[in-house]
Amino acid sequence: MSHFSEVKTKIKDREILKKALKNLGHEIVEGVNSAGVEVRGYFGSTQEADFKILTSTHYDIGFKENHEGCYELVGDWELLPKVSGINQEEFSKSLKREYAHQMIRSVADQLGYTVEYEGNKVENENGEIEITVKQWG
Amino acid sequence: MKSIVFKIDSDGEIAVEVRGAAGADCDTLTDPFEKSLGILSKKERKPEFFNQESESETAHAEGMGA
Repeated sequence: MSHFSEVKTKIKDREILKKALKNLGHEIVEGVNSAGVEVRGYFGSTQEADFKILTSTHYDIGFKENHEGCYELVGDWELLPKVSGINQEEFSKSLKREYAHQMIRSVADQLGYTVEYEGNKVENENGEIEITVKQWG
Repeated sequence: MKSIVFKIDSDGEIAVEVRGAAGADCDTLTDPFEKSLGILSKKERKPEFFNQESESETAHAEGMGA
C-alpha cells in the first residue's frame, strides 16, 4: 500500500527561511528588537521589509510577511538582474527548494524520523533533492 | 517500517510517497509534513484505499515569487 501526493511550497516559517538563505550562502540582516529593515533600491530609494539579505551590490533583497502569513520578496527586480546577476524567478525557485528541504528535515527531527538521502547524494539523477525519512513501528 | 520519500524538483514542488503504511494511516503520516510545507495540490491512492472510503482532494494556491 502506498500513496502519492504533491505539495506546492509556501514559505511561512521565518526561522526555516533564514536557515535556507544561509545555506544558499546569503548574509542576513535583521532589525534590532524585531524592527523592520530598509531594502535599498535605485538611487537611494528604500522599501520596508521584515528582514533582508545583502547582495554584492548597493541593492538588497528583502522578505516581508503578507496577510496570508507567507513571505514575499521585496527588491528592485529591474536592477538586480543587471547589477548582481540575480534573477527573481531563479532565486525564488532555488529558495523554495532549499526551504522545502530544510522544512522536511526539521519536521522529521521533531517527529523522531531518521533522515536518509538516496545513495548519500542530495540530488538524484533527475536533479531532484531526494530525501527518505524512516520510522520504525 | 514506515517510510516517506520526498522528491523536491527544481521549482520547489514536492512529490511525496508513503511506503509501508496502510489506508488512512498514510494521511496521518504525511499530514504534519504537508501542512508545514504548503498546499497539497494532488493526492493519489492505490485502489485498496477506496474500499474503505471514497475521497479525493484538490487545492490550488499561489506560492512565492514572480
